[in-house]
Amino acid sequence: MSTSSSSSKKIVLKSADNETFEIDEIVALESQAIKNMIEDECADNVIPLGNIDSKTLSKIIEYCKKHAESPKKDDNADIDEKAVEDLKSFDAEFAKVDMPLIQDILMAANFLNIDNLIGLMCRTIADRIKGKTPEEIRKILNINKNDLLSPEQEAKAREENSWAFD
Amino acid sequence: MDVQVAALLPEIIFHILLLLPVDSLFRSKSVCRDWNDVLNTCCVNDLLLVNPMSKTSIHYPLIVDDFARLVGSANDLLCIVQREGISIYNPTTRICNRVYGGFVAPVRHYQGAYGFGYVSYTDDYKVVAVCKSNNKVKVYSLKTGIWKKVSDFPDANLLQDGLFLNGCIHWLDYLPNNLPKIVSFDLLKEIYSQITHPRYDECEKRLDLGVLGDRLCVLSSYVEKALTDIWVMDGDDSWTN
Repeated sequence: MSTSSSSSKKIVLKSADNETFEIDEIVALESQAIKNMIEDECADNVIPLGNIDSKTLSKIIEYCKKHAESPKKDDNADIDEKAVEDLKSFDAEFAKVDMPLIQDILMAANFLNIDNLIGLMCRTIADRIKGKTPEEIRKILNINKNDLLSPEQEAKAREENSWAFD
Repeated sequence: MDVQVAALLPEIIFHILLLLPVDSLFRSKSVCRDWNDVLNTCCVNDLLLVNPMSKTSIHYPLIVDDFARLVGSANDLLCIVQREGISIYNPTTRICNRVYGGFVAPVRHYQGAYGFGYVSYTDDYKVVAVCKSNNKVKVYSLKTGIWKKVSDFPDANLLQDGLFLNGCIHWLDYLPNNLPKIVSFDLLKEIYSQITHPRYDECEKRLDLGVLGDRLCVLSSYVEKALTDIWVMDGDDSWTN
Protein backbone atom coordinates (compact mmCIF):
# COMPACT_ATOMS: atom_id res chain seq x y z
CA MET A 1 0.00 0.00 0.00
CA SER A 2 1.34 3.40 -0.88
CA THR A 3 1.29 6.16 1.67
CA SER A 4 1.01 9.89 1.25
CA SER A 5 3.29 11.11 4.00
CA SER A 6 6.38 9.17 4.92
CA SER A 7 6.95 10.95 8.22
CA SER A 8 3.82 9.67 10.02
CA LYS A 9 3.75 6.52 12.09
CA LYS A 10 2.96 3.30 10.26
CA ILE A 11 0.82 0.36 11.24
CA VAL A 12 0.96 -3.00 9.54
CA LEU A 13 -2.17 -5.11 9.22
CA LYS A 14 -1.97 -8.77 8.26
CA SER A 15 -4.92 -10.49 6.62
CA ALA A 16 -6.11 -14.06 7.09
CA ASP A 17 -4.32 -15.06 3.86
CA ASN A 18 -1.06 -13.55 5.20
CA GLU A 19 -0.96 -10.47 3.03
CA THR A 20 0.43 -7.41 4.82
CA PHE A 21 -0.81 -3.84 4.46
CA GLU A 22 1.25 -0.93 5.69
CA ILE A 23 -0.92 2.08 6.46
CA ASP A 24 -0.64 5.41 8.26
CA GLU A 25 -1.63 5.26 11.89
CA ILE A 26 -4.22 7.98 11.28
CA VAL A 27 -5.97 5.65 8.80
CA ALA A 28 -5.90 2.74 11.24
CA LEU A 29 -7.44 4.94 13.93
CA GLU A 30 -10.71 4.98 11.97
CA SER A 31 -11.16 1.57 13.57
CA GLN A 32 -12.15 1.94 17.20
CA ALA A 33 -10.85 -1.57 17.91
CA ILE A 34 -7.37 -0.84 16.54
CA LYS A 35 -7.41 2.55 18.26
CA ASN A 36 -8.03 0.84 21.59
CA MET A 37 -5.23 -1.65 20.90
CA ILE A 38 -2.77 1.14 20.13
CA GLU A 39 -3.85 3.18 23.16
CA ASP A 40 -3.49 0.17 25.42
CA GLU A 41 -0.09 -0.45 23.82
CA CYS A 42 -0.97 -4.04 23.13
CA ALA A 43 -0.42 -3.71 19.41
CA ASP A 44 2.86 -5.01 18.04
CA ASN A 45 4.27 -3.68 14.81
CA VAL A 46 2.06 -6.09 12.94
CA ILE A 47 -1.62 -6.51 13.81
CA PRO A 48 -2.88 -9.91 12.65
CA LEU A 49 -6.51 -9.98 11.51
CA GLY A 50 -7.13 -13.70 11.27
CA ASN A 51 -10.78 -13.44 10.27
CA ILE A 52 -10.49 -10.89 7.46
CA ASP A 53 -9.26 -11.86 3.99
CA SER A 54 -7.10 -9.57 1.87
CA LYS A 55 -9.86 -8.65 -0.59
CA THR A 56 -12.09 -7.44 2.22
CA LEU A 57 -9.25 -5.78 4.10
CA SER A 58 -8.08 -3.78 1.08
CA LYS A 59 -11.64 -2.46 0.61
CA ILE A 60 -11.80 -1.47 4.25
CA ILE A 61 -8.45 0.31 4.06
CA GLU A 62 -9.66 2.16 0.95
CA TYR A 63 -12.67 3.34 2.96
CA CYS A 64 -10.68 4.31 6.04
CA LYS A 65 -8.14 6.26 4.01
CA LYS A 66 -10.82 8.32 2.34
CA HIS A 67 -12.60 9.01 5.59
CA ALA A 68 -9.38 9.78 7.49
CA GLU A 69 -8.35 12.30 4.84
CA SER A 70 -11.65 14.08 4.77
CA PRO A 71 -12.33 16.75 7.44
CA LYS A 72 -14.22 15.50 10.48
CA LYS A 73 -17.67 16.85 11.18
CA ASP A 74 -16.98 17.96 14.74
CA ASP A 75 -13.69 19.68 13.88
CA ASN A 76 -15.29 22.97 12.98
CA ALA A 77 -18.80 24.26 12.48
CA ASP A 78 -18.53 25.62 8.94
CA ILE A 79 -17.60 22.38 7.28
CA ASP A 80 -16.78 22.33 3.62
CA GLU A 81 -19.97 21.45 1.70
CA LYS A 82 -17.91 20.10 -1.15
CA ALA A 83 -16.04 17.69 1.10
CA VAL A 84 -19.33 16.33 2.41
CA GLU A 85 -20.67 15.82 -1.11
CA ASP A 86 -17.40 14.25 -2.14
CA LEU A 87 -17.55 11.78 0.74
CA LYS A 88 -21.17 10.95 -0.05
CA SER A 89 -20.42 10.10 -3.65
CA PHE A 90 -17.39 8.09 -2.54
CA ASP A 91 -19.62 6.08 -0.19
CA ALA A 92 -22.19 5.50 -2.94
CA GLU A 93 -19.47 4.22 -5.31
CA PHE A 94 -17.86 2.17 -2.56
CA ALA A 95 -21.12 0.30 -1.90
CA LYS A 96 -21.48 -0.78 -5.54
CA VAL A 97 -20.10 -4.26 -4.98
CA ASP A 98 -21.71 -7.67 -4.88
CA MET A 99 -23.60 -8.91 -1.84
CA PRO A 100 -21.08 -11.49 -0.50
CA LEU A 101 -18.39 -8.80 -0.34
CA ILE A 102 -20.81 -6.37 1.33
CA GLN A 103 -21.53 -8.95 4.01
CA ASP A 104 -17.82 -9.66 4.49
CA ILE A 105 -17.07 -5.96 4.78
CA LEU A 106 -19.96 -5.55 7.22
CA MET A 107 -18.72 -8.30 9.49
CA ALA A 108 -15.15 -7.08 9.35
CA ALA A 109 -16.29 -3.50 10.04
CA ASN A 110 -18.23 -4.81 13.00
CA PHE A 111 -15.15 -6.64 14.28
CA LEU A 112 -12.94 -3.60 13.75
CA ASN A 113 -15.66 -1.32 15.13
CA ILE A 114 -15.89 1.23 12.33
CA ASP A 115 -19.27 2.83 12.95
CA ASN A 116 -19.66 4.77 9.69
CA LEU A 117 -18.84 1.73 7.61
CA ILE A 118 -21.27 -0.50 9.54
CA GLY A 119 -23.98 2.10 8.92
CA LEU A 120 -23.16 2.34 5.22
CA MET A 121 -23.22 -1.43 4.70
CA CYS A 122 -26.46 -1.85 6.65
CA ARG A 123 -28.15 0.90 4.60
CA THR A 124 -26.91 -0.78 1.41
CA ILE A 125 -28.36 -4.14 2.43
CA ALA A 126 -31.63 -2.56 3.59
CA ASP A 127 -31.97 -0.74 0.24
CA ARG A 128 -31.46 -3.99 -1.66
CA ILE A 129 -34.01 -6.03 0.30
CA LYS A 130 -36.63 -3.30 0.76
CA GLY A 131 -40.01 -4.40 -0.60
CA LYS A 132 -38.73 -7.89 -1.49
CA THR A 133 -40.43 -11.16 -0.58
CA PRO A 134 -38.78 -13.47 1.99
CA GLU A 135 -37.79 -15.82 -0.86
CA GLU A 136 -36.08 -12.99 -2.72
CA ILE A 137 -34.34 -11.82 0.45
CA ARG A 138 -32.97 -15.32 1.09
CA LYS A 139 -31.61 -15.40 -2.44
CA ILE A 140 -30.11 -11.91 -2.26
CA LEU A 141 -28.37 -12.62 1.05
CA ASN A 142 -27.58 -16.24 0.17
CA ILE A 143 -29.05 -17.48 3.43
CA ASN A 144 -28.12 -21.02 4.33
CA LYS A 145 -30.94 -23.53 3.79
CA ASN A 146 -30.25 -25.03 7.22
CA ASP A 147 -31.17 -21.73 8.84
CA LEU A 148 -34.71 -21.58 7.48
CA LEU A 149 -37.80 -21.79 9.65
CA SER A 150 -39.70 -25.05 9.76
CA PRO A 151 -42.81 -25.06 7.54
CA GLU A 152 -44.99 -24.72 10.67
CA GLN A 153 -42.97 -21.79 12.02
CA GLU A 154 -43.04 -20.09 8.65
CA ALA A 155 -46.79 -20.52 8.33
CA LYS A 156 -47.20 -19.02 11.80
CA ALA A 157 -44.95 -16.05 11.01
CA ARG A 158 -46.85 -15.42 7.78
CA GLU A 159 -50.21 -15.70 9.41
CA GLU A 160 -49.32 -13.25 12.16
CA ASN A 161 -48.14 -10.74 9.65
CA SER A 162 -50.45 -11.58 6.76
CA TRP A 163 -51.26 -7.90 6.21
CA ALA A 164 -47.65 -7.29 5.26
CA PHE A 165 -47.94 -9.72 2.36
CA ASP A 166 -50.86 -7.95 0.65
CA MET B 1 -22.71 -18.86 -7.62
CA ASP B 2 -22.17 -20.62 -4.35
CA VAL B 3 -20.28 -18.35 -2.04
CA GLN B 4 -20.63 -19.36 1.56
CA VAL B 5 -21.18 -16.27 3.62
CA ALA B 6 -21.24 -16.55 7.39
CA ALA B 7 -24.55 -15.60 8.93
CA LEU B 8 -24.91 -12.04 10.11
CA LEU B 9 -24.82 -11.34 13.83
CA PRO B 10 -28.12 -10.53 15.57
CA GLU B 11 -27.15 -6.94 16.35
CA ILE B 12 -26.30 -6.41 12.68
CA ILE B 13 -29.60 -7.95 11.57
CA PHE B 14 -31.35 -5.66 14.05
CA HIS B 15 -29.56 -2.65 12.61
CA ILE B 16 -30.59 -3.58 9.05
CA LEU B 17 -34.20 -4.35 9.97
CA LEU B 18 -34.62 -0.96 11.61
CA LEU B 19 -33.86 0.67 8.29
CA LEU B 20 -36.73 -1.12 6.55
CA PRO B 21 -40.26 0.20 6.09
CA VAL B 22 -42.65 -1.39 8.56
CA ASP B 23 -44.33 -3.81 6.10
CA SER B 24 -40.96 -5.09 4.86
CA LEU B 25 -39.90 -5.41 8.49
CA PHE B 26 -42.75 -7.71 9.41
CA ARG B 27 -42.49 -9.70 6.20
CA SER B 28 -38.86 -10.34 7.12
CA LYS B 29 -39.96 -12.52 10.01
CA SER B 30 -40.21 -15.50 7.72
CA VAL B 31 -36.82 -15.05 6.05
CA CYS B 32 -34.95 -17.38 8.41
CA ARG B 33 -34.57 -18.43 12.03
CA ASP B 34 -32.13 -15.69 13.01
CA TRP B 35 -34.34 -12.94 11.63
CA ASN B 36 -37.43 -14.40 13.23
CA ASP B 37 -35.62 -14.50 16.58
CA VAL B 38 -34.47 -10.92 16.27
CA LEU B 39 -37.96 -9.75 15.38
CA ASN B 40 -39.49 -11.66 18.27
CA THR B 41 -37.32 -9.96 20.86
CA CYS B 42 -39.05 -7.22 22.72
CA CYS B 43 -36.63 -4.46 21.86
CA VAL B 44 -38.00 -4.29 18.31
CA ASN B 45 -41.51 -4.28 19.66
CA ASP B 46 -40.63 -1.55 22.13
CA LEU B 47 -39.44 0.53 19.30
CA LEU B 48 -42.69 0.09 17.43
CA LEU B 49 -44.80 0.64 20.54
CA VAL B 50 -46.39 -2.78 20.35
CA ASN B 51 -44.75 -3.98 23.54
CA PRO B 52 -47.77 -3.74 25.83
CA MET B 53 -49.74 -5.73 23.29
CA SER B 54 -47.21 -8.31 22.29
CA LYS B 55 -47.55 -10.71 25.19
CA THR B 56 -51.27 -10.95 25.71
CA SER B 57 -52.69 -10.14 22.35
CA ILE B 58 -54.00 -12.27 19.61
CA HIS B 59 -53.05 -10.80 16.30
CA TYR B 60 -56.32 -9.79 14.75
CA PRO B 61 -57.14 -7.84 11.69
CA LEU B 62 -59.28 -4.86 12.61
CA ILE B 63 -62.85 -5.58 11.60
CA VAL B 64 -65.21 -2.72 12.22
CA ASP B 65 -68.94 -3.24 12.68
CA ASP B 66 -71.82 -0.72 12.44
CA PHE B 67 -71.63 0.11 16.11
CA ALA B 68 -67.95 0.89 16.13
CA ARG B 69 -66.90 4.15 17.62
CA LEU B 70 -63.53 5.58 18.48
CA VAL B 71 -63.19 6.08 22.21
CA GLY B 72 -59.82 7.74 22.14
CA SER B 73 -56.15 7.39 21.50
CA ALA B 74 -53.00 7.39 23.58
CA ASN B 75 -49.50 7.48 22.14
CA ASP B 76 -50.01 5.53 18.92
CA LEU B 77 -52.77 3.19 20.07
CA LEU B 78 -56.46 3.58 19.26
CA CYS B 79 -59.32 2.28 21.37
CA ILE B 80 -62.42 1.30 19.45
CA VAL B 81 -65.65 0.05 21.02
CA GLN B 82 -67.78 -2.33 19.01
CA ARG B 83 -70.80 -4.50 19.64
CA GLU B 84 -68.75 -7.61 20.25
CA GLY B 85 -65.90 -6.14 22.23
CA ILE B 86 -63.27 -3.52 22.52
CA SER B 87 -60.33 -3.33 20.14
CA ILE B 88 -57.04 -1.73 20.97
CA TYR B 89 -55.37 -1.16 17.68
CA ASN B 90 -51.87 -0.15 16.65
CA PRO B 91 -52.12 1.36 13.16
CA THR B 92 -48.35 1.25 12.66
CA THR B 93 -47.98 -2.48 13.12
CA ARG B 94 -51.65 -3.26 12.37
CA ILE B 95 -51.80 -5.47 15.42
CA CYS B 96 -55.20 -5.45 17.04
CA ASN B 97 -55.81 -6.55 20.58
CA ARG B 98 -59.34 -7.75 21.26
CA VAL B 99 -60.57 -7.13 24.78
CA TYR B 100 -63.51 -9.17 25.98
CA GLY B 101 -65.46 -8.76 29.17
CA GLY B 102 -66.15 -5.52 30.93
CA PHE B 103 -69.70 -4.45 30.25
CA VAL B 104 -69.50 -4.99 26.57
CA ALA B 105 -70.94 -8.42 25.94
CA PRO B 106 -74.05 -8.48 28.14
CA VAL B 107 -74.72 -4.77 28.09
CA ARG B 108 -75.63 -3.07 24.84
CA HIS B 109 -73.09 -0.60 23.60
CA TYR B 110 -75.21 2.50 24.17
CA GLN B 111 -75.42 1.79 27.88
CA GLY B 112 -71.72 2.14 28.46
CA ALA B 113 -69.40 5.09 28.40
CA TYR B 114 -65.70 4.53 28.01
CA GLY B 115 -62.33 6.10 28.42
CA PHE B 116 -58.90 5.08 27.18
CA GLY B 117 -55.54 6.37 28.31
CA TYR B 118 -51.90 5.75 29.12
CA VAL B 119 -50.33 5.55 32.57
CA SER B 120 -46.70 6.55 32.24
CA TYR B 121 -45.78 5.56 35.80
CA THR B 122 -46.58 1.90 35.17
CA ASP B 123 -46.15 2.06 31.39
CA ASP B 124 -49.61 0.64 30.93
CA TYR B 125 -52.72 1.40 28.92
CA LYS B 126 -56.13 1.30 30.56
CA VAL B 127 -59.71 1.14 29.39
CA VAL B 128 -62.37 2.49 31.76
CA ALA B 129 -65.90 1.19 31.23
CA VAL B 130 -68.80 2.87 32.99
CA CYS B 131 -72.17 1.13 33.00
CA LYS B 132 -74.70 3.95 32.75
CA SER B 133 -77.63 2.05 34.24
CA ASN B 134 -76.06 1.21 37.60
CA ASN B 135 -72.92 3.40 37.84
CA LYS B 136 -70.64 0.34 38.06
CA VAL B 137 -67.14 0.87 36.76
CA LYS B 138 -64.51 -1.56 35.59
CA VAL B 139 -60.95 -0.84 34.53
CA TYR B 140 -59.02 -3.00 32.09
CA SER B 141 -55.24 -3.01 32.18
CA LEU B 142 -53.50 -3.93 28.96
CA LYS B 143 -50.47 -5.08 30.91
CA THR B 144 -52.25 -7.55 33.16
CA GLY B 145 -54.99 -8.34 30.67
CA ILE B 146 -57.72 -8.35 33.30
CA TRP B 147 -60.75 -6.26 34.21
CA LYS B 148 -60.89 -4.92 37.74
CA LYS B 149 -63.91 -3.51 39.51
CA VAL B 150 -63.35 -0.07 41.01
CA SER B 151 -65.63 2.14 43.11
CA ASP B 152 -68.86 3.26 41.48
CA PHE B 153 -69.09 6.39 39.41
CA PRO B 154 -70.56 9.29 41.45
CA ASP B 155 -73.58 9.79 39.15
CA ALA B 156 -73.30 8.29 35.75
CA ASN B 157 -75.31 10.39 33.38
CA LEU B 158 -72.68 10.34 30.74
CA LEU B 159 -73.61 11.14 27.20
CA GLN B 160 -70.18 10.71 25.72
CA ASP B 161 -66.96 8.79 26.14
CA GLY B 162 -64.30 10.34 28.31
CA LEU B 163 -61.45 12.52 27.24
CA PHE B 164 -57.90 11.47 28.11
CA LEU B 165 -55.41 14.06 29.31
CA ASN B 166 -52.40 13.93 31.66
CA GLY B 167 -53.12 10.52 33.14
CA CYS B 168 -56.82 11.20 33.76
CA ILE B 169 -60.06 10.57 31.92
CA HIS B 170 -62.53 13.46 32.00
CA TRP B 171 -66.27 13.22 31.56
CA LEU B 172 -69.19 15.60 31.64
CA ASP B 173 -71.75 14.15 34.02
CA TYR B 174 -75.23 15.50 33.29
CA LEU B 175 -77.41 16.05 36.33
CA PRO B 176 -81.06 16.88 35.86
CA ASN B 177 -81.76 20.67 35.97
CA ASN B 178 -78.19 21.41 36.78
CA LEU B 179 -74.90 22.20 35.18
CA PRO B 180 -73.09 18.96 34.21
CA LYS B 181 -70.25 18.10 36.56
CA ILE B 182 -66.75 17.70 35.24
CA VAL B 183 -65.60 14.39 36.72
CA SER B 184 -62.08 13.15 36.26
CA PHE B 185 -60.76 9.68 36.94
CA ASP B 186 -57.09 9.22 37.76
CA LEU B 187 -55.89 6.14 35.85
CA LEU B 188 -53.00 5.44 38.22
CA LYS B 189 -54.69 5.97 41.60
CA GLU B 190 -58.09 4.91 40.24
CA ILE B 191 -59.95 7.62 42.12
CA TYR B 192 -62.47 10.24 41.04
CA SER B 193 -62.29 13.94 41.54
CA GLN B 194 -64.47 16.81 40.50
CA ILE B 195 -63.34 19.93 38.73
CA THR B 196 -64.97 23.27 39.52
CA HIS B 197 -66.53 24.98 36.55
CA PRO B 198 -65.42 28.29 35.15
CA ARG B 199 -67.86 31.21 35.57
CA TYR B 200 -70.10 30.88 32.57
CA ASP B 201 -72.68 33.44 31.47
CA GLU B 202 -76.07 32.96 33.00
CA CYS B 203 -78.03 31.96 29.92
CA GLU B 204 -78.83 28.60 28.36
CA LYS B 205 -75.79 26.83 27.11
CA ARG B 206 -74.32 23.63 25.87
CA LEU B 207 -70.98 22.41 27.20
CA ASP B 208 -68.29 20.33 25.51
CA LEU B 209 -64.93 19.16 26.79
CA GLY B 210 -61.82 19.52 24.72
CA VAL B 211 -58.05 19.57 24.85
CA LEU B 212 -56.08 22.63 23.86
CA GLY B 213 -52.36 21.96 23.75
CA ASP B 214 -51.90 19.93 26.90
CA ARG B 215 -54.66 21.57 28.89
CA LEU B 216 -58.29 20.81 29.45
CA CYS B 217 -60.79 23.24 28.02
CA VAL B 218 -64.56 23.66 28.12
CA LEU B 219 -66.50 25.06 25.21
CA SER B 220 -69.66 26.80 26.35
CA SER B 221 -71.99 27.54 23.50
CA TYR B 222 -74.75 30.06 24.17
CA VAL B 223 -77.63 29.21 21.92
CA GLU B 224 -79.38 32.58 21.99
CA LYS B 225 -76.27 34.63 21.46
CA ALA B 226 -74.87 32.25 18.83
CA LEU B 227 -71.58 32.53 20.65
CA THR B 228 -69.03 30.04 22.00
CA ASP B 229 -66.63 30.74 24.81
CA ILE B 230 -63.53 28.65 25.23
CA TRP B 231 -62.37 28.24 28.81
CA VAL B 232 -58.88 26.85 29.27
CA MET B 233 -57.85 25.35 32.58
CA ASP B 234 -54.77 27.06 34.04
CA GLY B 235 -54.09 24.97 37.08
CA ASP B 236 -56.20 23.52 39.82
CA ASP B 237 -59.64 25.01 39.44
CA SER B 238 -58.50 28.13 37.70
CA TRP B 239 -59.78 29.04 34.25
CA THR B 240 -59.03 31.58 31.55
CA ASN B 241 -61.61 32.67 29.06
